[in-house]
Amino acid sequence: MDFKDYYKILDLPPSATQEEVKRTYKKLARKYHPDVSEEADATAKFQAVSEAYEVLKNKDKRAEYDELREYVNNPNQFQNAGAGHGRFNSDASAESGLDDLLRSIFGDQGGFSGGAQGFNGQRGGTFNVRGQDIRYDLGITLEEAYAGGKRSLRLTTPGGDKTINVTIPKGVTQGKELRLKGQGELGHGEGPAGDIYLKISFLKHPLFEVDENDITLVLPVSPWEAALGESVEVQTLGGKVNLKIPADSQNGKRLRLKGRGLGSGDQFVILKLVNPPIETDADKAAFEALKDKFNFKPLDGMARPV
Amino acid sequence: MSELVYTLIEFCSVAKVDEQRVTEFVEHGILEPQLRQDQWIFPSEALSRCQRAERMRQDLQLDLHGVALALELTERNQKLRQRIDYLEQLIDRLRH
Repeated sequence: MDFKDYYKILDLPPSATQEEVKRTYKKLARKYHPDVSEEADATAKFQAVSEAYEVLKNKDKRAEYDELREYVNNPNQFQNAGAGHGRFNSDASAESGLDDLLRSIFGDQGGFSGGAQGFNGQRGGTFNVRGQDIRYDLGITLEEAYAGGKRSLRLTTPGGDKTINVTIPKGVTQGKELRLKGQGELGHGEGPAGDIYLKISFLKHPLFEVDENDITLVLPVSPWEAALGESVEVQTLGGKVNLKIPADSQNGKRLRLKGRGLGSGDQFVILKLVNPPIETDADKAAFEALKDKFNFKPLDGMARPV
Repeated sequence: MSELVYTLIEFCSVAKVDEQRVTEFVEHGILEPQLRQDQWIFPSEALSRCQRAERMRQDLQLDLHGVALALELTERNQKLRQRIDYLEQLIDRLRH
């Protein structure tokens, strides 16, 4: 067990009052709580803050901790003070003495209450405790989410590696949790095993963007396809389908392919007009001809400051 | 797997939250079970919401009004974040 500077973790001076400790803990708990926070390592930070507070909130524990902290920072001072004074056994090596002391103050547990169900100190006798749940993120492709299906996963669990078979429900969306009953850590005594929870996230797709259960495809089209209309083949998660681009379509027009999203969602196709590259005089002449024909000035339609 | 529903007793056992607490969550609109033959039926999605609510209650020392509000705001926040991600990606695709 390493020595942790709880004051540093809470960013408080050692002279902080109990009131200040409490106030700071509450503030940091809200900031780092894994269910609320968007910080990258929120879980670890929340655990550290909780552990610090567990000790500092209690006057007796805090006094013991302060003494220990003093000892860690200035070991020499204590060596000279003689063995009779403190609870530090000067015969034991500093390391193991520190370890024992830390255990005697804080016990073996971390401070995090999230989902954990400790044994509440009951030792000996028989006790039945349900095994811990295990949580994983499962990144899947949009195609897998669309079609559903079975997948074999290799997971590293506290009890060793294991392979499990997962059924991905058809049309599953981002953030959904799949529960694998009884696949978590083994229980103690007669207690049942815990569960595995797999949280679904989507891997980046080369073509599609996802908005809940709708998907969007940006489709590059030429000016004449947009102007004259055209039937084109577009990719969907279920394969290619024909899409009719209506005549006189503008850039950014959004078309809908009903029922082609995830589950009951749709696929949207947004037209992106792309001009051909102008490489020769003839290319240029073709656009000059358009200019003469239309005398079109879209800027004129734009509202301007007076 | 996705259509799983639980009775109150099953739900409490799986969520590891006692009946009284779940009842309070329902009273505060944190959980919204369906009523089937005079019995509460919880969809499987309610599980993680219930566990999150209980963690927030304990770890942040919130009362149930606070829990309900915090849950609603974090969920709304998450939805907005997802929507921003989606729109940013879309703008990127439209520009390049």
